[in-house]
Amino acid sequence: YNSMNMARAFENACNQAYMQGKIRGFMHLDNGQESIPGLVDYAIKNGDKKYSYYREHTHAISSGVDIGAVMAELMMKETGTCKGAGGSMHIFDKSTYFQGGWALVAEQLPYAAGAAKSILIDQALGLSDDEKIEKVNVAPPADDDRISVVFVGEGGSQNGRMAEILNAASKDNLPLLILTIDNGRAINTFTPDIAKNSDVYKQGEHYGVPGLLVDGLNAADVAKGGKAVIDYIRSGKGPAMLQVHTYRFNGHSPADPEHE
Amino acid sequence: QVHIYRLNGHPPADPEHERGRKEEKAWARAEQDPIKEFEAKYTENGMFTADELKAARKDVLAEVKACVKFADESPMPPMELAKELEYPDAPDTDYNLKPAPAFADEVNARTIAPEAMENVQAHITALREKANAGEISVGDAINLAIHEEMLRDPTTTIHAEDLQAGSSYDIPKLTQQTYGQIRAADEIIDEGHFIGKALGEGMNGYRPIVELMNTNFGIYGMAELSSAGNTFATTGGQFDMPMTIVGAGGTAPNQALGAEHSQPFHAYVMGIPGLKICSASTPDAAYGITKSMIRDNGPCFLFCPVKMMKESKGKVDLGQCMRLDKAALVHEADEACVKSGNAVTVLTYLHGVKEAQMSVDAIKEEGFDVDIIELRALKPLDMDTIKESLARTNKLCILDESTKSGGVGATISAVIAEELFDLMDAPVKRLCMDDAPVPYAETMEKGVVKRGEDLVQGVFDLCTKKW
Repeated sequence: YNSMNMARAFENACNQAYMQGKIRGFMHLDNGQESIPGLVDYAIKNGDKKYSYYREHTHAISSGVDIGAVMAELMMKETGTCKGAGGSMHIFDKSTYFQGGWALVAEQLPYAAGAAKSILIDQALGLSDDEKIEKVNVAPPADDDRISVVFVGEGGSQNGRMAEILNAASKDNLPLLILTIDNGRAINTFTPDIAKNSDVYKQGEHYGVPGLLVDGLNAADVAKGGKAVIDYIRSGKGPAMLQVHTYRFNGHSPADPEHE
Repeated sequence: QVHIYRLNGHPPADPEHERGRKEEKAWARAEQDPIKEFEAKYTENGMFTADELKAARKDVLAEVKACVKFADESPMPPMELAKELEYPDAPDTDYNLKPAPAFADEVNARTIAPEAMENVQAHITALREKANAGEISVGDAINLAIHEEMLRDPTTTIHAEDLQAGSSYDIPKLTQQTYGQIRAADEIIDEGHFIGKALGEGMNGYRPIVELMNTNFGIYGMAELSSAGNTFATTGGQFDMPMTIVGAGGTAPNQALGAEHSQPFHAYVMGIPGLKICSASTPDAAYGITKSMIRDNGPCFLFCPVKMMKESKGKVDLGQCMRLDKAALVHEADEACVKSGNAVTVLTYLHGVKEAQMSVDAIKEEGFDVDIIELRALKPLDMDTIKESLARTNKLCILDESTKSGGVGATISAVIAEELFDLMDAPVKRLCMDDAPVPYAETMEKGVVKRGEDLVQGVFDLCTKKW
């Protein structure tokens, strides 16, 4: 409940700041989709690698990125996560392994797969990160169950990269969670107008990657179902997909309120 | 899915690349040869005799021998052919002279519903009125050009994300409702995917238009764009590639759109062969260039300034196609400044045009003046117009919306030095973006993206011999 409220309140504050001209350029708000940061807060750990798209403020916050630093980044301040260089679509935070914030649709899919592989490389080589996040000759703990989670829309899930990483992740048994945020809108197009099959969670069938569909309206179900999927991946059984059906309350971005 | 065995290596160049394949190859040649299989099966069941098959094979081998002889005795192509195959339509083509297909009216009559035709004609009329009143925007001007051309030639198609919603600047507005989904298609968010599909249409007699919401996103389509550029030449001139790509891009000072919405894609594509590249910052150029590009039989790319799609308004020379190889002199330095050596030729494009125009007063206050040339033709460049101005000023400054390494300003600087050296009294002053992703924070961005105040300083430096 707290993390959902945090997500909503933060996004509303962003909206206000944007209207006051303190945040500029492109900004994409997560209102309506809060059960997802709720799941992140509940079941994703600091050491897990996180990759998201441009609507990522709440993913960053629920991953533990300092909310002041995120707001400062949006307001182009030096105290921002990226010293003001990135902006709304490019939130990065090394210490919480929040690895972006990416603007080109679906580009984050292969990046997250590489991050998942880095977990396996750590384990194979017996290396891990110290507190400064530098590689040291210390093996990860025996119960190392880190995963990589990538957030993508159901529109972005139609991109060819999805097939490629389902193949790569299953072939290499990558600890990867592909979380599809299904709000039925690809920018300003109804996704079913351009997508033959909206059951993204079934895309893995060809590759032996299991998937689960949950209703984003029910935060507890998202948390329980999501955690079950996450635990499956943590136990070393390979990649999995979670599709959260949800609704986007605002437009694609404040820049285009009319395009509805 | 045909399960089969490859009897040789990947290419003859690497016979050893056979990780464990040597034995497999030997086995495959012995046991998995479909020709031997055919011979065995169909002689065994009596359909053919061994002699019949042998004779057939002999005929085939003779044909092959003849074709090798033919190839051996044929001449190599002349060196000049590469240059001849650069563009199917010469850069100075007058597209107003291109004939429309004779079947246009007939095809339109049977594929466009009367009501839809009425609607689009009303839409076109309304846009033309706006144009005559000097109130049409860049986005609307391109939309007008697109409708005129899609009616004129029913083989014209259009692809965009959010197409039925008008995308970001109404460039594809009313196309799907008029021409149907078969000609005006919504696309998934992957530019490589639909630039690729457009290429396939282009190979098969259709003239695809691709609208990029932001030209940045064209990055996903680099491979396909490159192939579109290669098509005419690599096919020996057999296949035209009449693809038109239009989009809003560039980097306005202080636009705060983030690194991945500010990349100078026009810089990245400069090197793609066969591609004609233009820019337009006003409705008249956007309209006239779009019409020509659609009629051009090669791939063409029009860049418009992302921050001026709706705000830049003006009149349009209705019905007229513009040359794709002509720059525009948008401001002329006064004769006094020219005579006293206090004039500079400024080359710019996209947002730089407005930046330069807004800097004229400050420049004149210092006692200098500028010829401002808008590089509507980025590739090929209009060296004649540049030369004419440089002959007056002998000093050149480029306000360049691409990075220091690679791209527009770098290319122009090199060409100027090569071809117009005798006219230069000073080195080229290149005001370009730093080799950095455009920062979001305006304080940082100021150092990276050059603007009007940098131009004022640049002109000052050139005229006071500071280099």
